[in-house]
Amino acid sequence: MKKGDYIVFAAIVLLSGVLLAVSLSGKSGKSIEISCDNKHYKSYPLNKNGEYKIKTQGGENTLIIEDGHACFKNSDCPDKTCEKMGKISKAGDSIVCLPHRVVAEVED
Amino acid sequence: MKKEQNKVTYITLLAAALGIALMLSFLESILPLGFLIPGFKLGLSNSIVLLCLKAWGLRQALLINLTRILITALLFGNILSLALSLCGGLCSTLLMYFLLKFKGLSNIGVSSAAGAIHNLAQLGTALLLLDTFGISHLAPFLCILGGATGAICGLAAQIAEKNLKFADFALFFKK
Repeated sequence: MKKGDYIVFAAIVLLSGVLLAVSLSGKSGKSIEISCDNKHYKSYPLNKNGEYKIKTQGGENTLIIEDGHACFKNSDCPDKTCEKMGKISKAGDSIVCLPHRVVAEVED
Repeated sequence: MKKEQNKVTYITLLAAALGIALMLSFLESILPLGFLIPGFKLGLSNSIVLLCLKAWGLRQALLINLTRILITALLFGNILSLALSLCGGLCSTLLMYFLLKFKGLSNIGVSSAAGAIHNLAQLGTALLLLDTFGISHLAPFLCILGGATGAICGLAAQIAEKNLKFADFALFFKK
């Protein structure tokens, strides 16, 4: 362990702090816009809790809106990447389901 | 004769390094960490890349790293993990090459920084390819995690280097 190592550690912690601050800031969105194949499908308000089934040519994704967050659950796509993307709530955030070509984006 | 023997040893050592790096990648693939981000990896083979950088140079280290990434992706991964690993591996190898020039850093610091950059570069690539900002919220955690695993790799590289020098392998290092 040399002196420079501590500088590296400090820099990493600092960078993480900055990234955390950036991710926590950001406007909360008002609605979720779902598009399929880059064409508008439907929009849902983020302030009303609900479960919506999005049926497209590829299959079905379940969009869950709860407490101002939205996430995909119970998608029948093969890789389930969309479910792993977690919850979105800030303007500009989006979740993508590549196999079904579905994009859910938060609008403010 | 001596020159030819050194060349054969050099090529064999390169192949051995690639083999070890592949084994480490295989170990990584057993741990199912892909639940955070598709294609997320620990940077275990970075310790091998670091040793290659110290022993030979950027060209050899890049060769071994890129070959390792290609084979690993073909065997255990998919196109997405290939793209992520390529970007992560390239960025971390280049960063290690530049950081090694500073005398004030030991292997641990270099590896730690490389690990953090590896993960952040992978995240950045995933953001570009998947066109979603949802996963960007993992950035701070990836940074710290990458730094931590990098530090451990650096420690391993440190121990390996000490023992390699002890065994007079340094004789073969300069081809």
